[in-house]
Amino acid sequence: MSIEAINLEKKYLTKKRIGLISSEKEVVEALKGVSFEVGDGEIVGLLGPNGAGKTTTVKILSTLLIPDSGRALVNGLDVVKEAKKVRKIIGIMLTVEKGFYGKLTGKENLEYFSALYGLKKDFSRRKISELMDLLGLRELGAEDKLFEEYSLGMKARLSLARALLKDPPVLILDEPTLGLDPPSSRKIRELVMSLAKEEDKTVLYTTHNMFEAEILCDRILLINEGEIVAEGTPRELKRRIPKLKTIEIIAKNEIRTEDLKYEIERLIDGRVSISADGTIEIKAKLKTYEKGLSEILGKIISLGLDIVSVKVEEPTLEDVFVHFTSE
Amino acid sequence: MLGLIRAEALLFYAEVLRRKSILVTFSLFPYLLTLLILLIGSSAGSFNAFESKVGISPVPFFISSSFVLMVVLGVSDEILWRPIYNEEMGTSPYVVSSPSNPILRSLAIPIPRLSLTLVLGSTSVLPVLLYYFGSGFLLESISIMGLAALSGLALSSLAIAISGLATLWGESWRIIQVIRPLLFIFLGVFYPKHVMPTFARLISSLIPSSHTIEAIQTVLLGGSNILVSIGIGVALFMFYLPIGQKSLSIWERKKLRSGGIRT
Repeated sequence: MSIEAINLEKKYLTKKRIGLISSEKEVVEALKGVSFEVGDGEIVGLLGPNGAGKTTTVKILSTLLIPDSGRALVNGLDVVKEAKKVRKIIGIMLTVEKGFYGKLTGKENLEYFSALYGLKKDFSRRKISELMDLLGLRELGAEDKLFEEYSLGMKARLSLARALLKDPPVLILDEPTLGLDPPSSRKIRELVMSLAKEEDKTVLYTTHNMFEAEILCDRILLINEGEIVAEGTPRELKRRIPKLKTIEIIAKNEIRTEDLKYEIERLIDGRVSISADGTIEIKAKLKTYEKGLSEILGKIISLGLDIVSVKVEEPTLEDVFVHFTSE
Repeated sequence: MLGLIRAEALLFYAEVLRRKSILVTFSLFPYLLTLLILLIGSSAGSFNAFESKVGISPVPFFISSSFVLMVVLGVSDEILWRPIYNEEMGTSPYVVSSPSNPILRSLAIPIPRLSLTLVLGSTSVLPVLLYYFGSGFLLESISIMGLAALSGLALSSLAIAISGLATLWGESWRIIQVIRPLLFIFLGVFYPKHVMPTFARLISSLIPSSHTIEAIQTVLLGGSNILVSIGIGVALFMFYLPIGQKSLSIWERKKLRSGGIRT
């Protein structure tokens, strides 16, 4: 296992202001026993509403926060007791907008951080050049541009470049595409995908973008109010919610008759409309995908209809998200 | 350590060379401060009175003192300000989560600034001292610049110790505002240690740079017995080093526990 979180708990002490001078201490329970695993080369999405505990989890795994109880391991190393070793094998991307020195160019910023990471001069020079090409920063003319003049898309790419400087086996990316335009988001997604699939890097990825989570992540962890409320592949998660799938069938029949409409409606639990050219549109609800679909299609065929197309509309990941986080 | 110094040099020189106003300020600082002191001083006494009391004309004395003060305050500012600057830039989590040693990281911060101040000494200390004492004072002038850099370095471990503890209290920029005038008084740069009241002399003796500054004043007055002062300054620097290390680790531990490292 590349990442292992075992019963992580974290409480924050915050101050609630009362008037100008006084304040009251408040305890916020950010994590209430979070456990999960991320396998080698896997991309796992950590999804949840604001304040659910995503960033707290990410900070613990990045050695930037000590949990009150529980353990977290990265490649078998304890993030608290062996923080220094963990720091050598993780690449982190925590914010897109900030995180670099404005008066340094993109290349100089990477040089600065590679020195901080203790990388050899020759290695870092080669690596920076390689990353500039890989992330398209050279192509964008961003290499020798001051960071303060960067667009958000360039900042995100540079941030990912820094995460890759050490060539780490584990990447922890906190909302890496937040606020980016579609081409930049796609570039980041494609890179993350290829890093996991071609270079076997393990990726923990937090996002609010359901489309992104669905196409990118092998597995999804849904976190709400400091607890993992659901876990599985996007497909598995969709199956777990009670929302029924909708099937839309377009069929043709030589004889157009109103009786046919009632006959179909009697056989299946759905709505039927027949247009002037004899096209029959059937919308029905499926209880289970495999069995329900063949049953409905069988009944329609038995009526002598020619099936033109079948479209199955599944519940979206957003439905899953809303279902589990608003329970 | 060399890699860290290289990184800090990149950051410092980019800031200075790409913000020309900083470079101009650095060059003018010793002259402006000397002018201010001379104007205030001349309203209360004369140049001759100062010379008969201290043993040196006020112009070379104050130009050297202002230069040393600029170097020492520069070091304390760089070290004390850096955690706040990193937080503003959003670089804090990446710096803290880097595998580099925090004490070495902090010690590397002021070194590039010292290299620049040495260059800047040639626009203030060097021409003024050579004008007053002639070309025979070249070696002494250069050694004063070197001792100024040593004074800055000597303060770094104490500054690290204060920086770690100060940031624990939050709003650490306010503490910087307090540290600066305290250093102004107790360094003994304008107000030599031997004329200080006992309590102030005691506090001053605890600051490593106050001893190297004493050495500078000895050179200015034509003396050569400076090794003891330098030795005490270096010893105090070494004494504060483990305290600085401990203070940084307490700071990091507390930040990591409270979630104080903002992302």
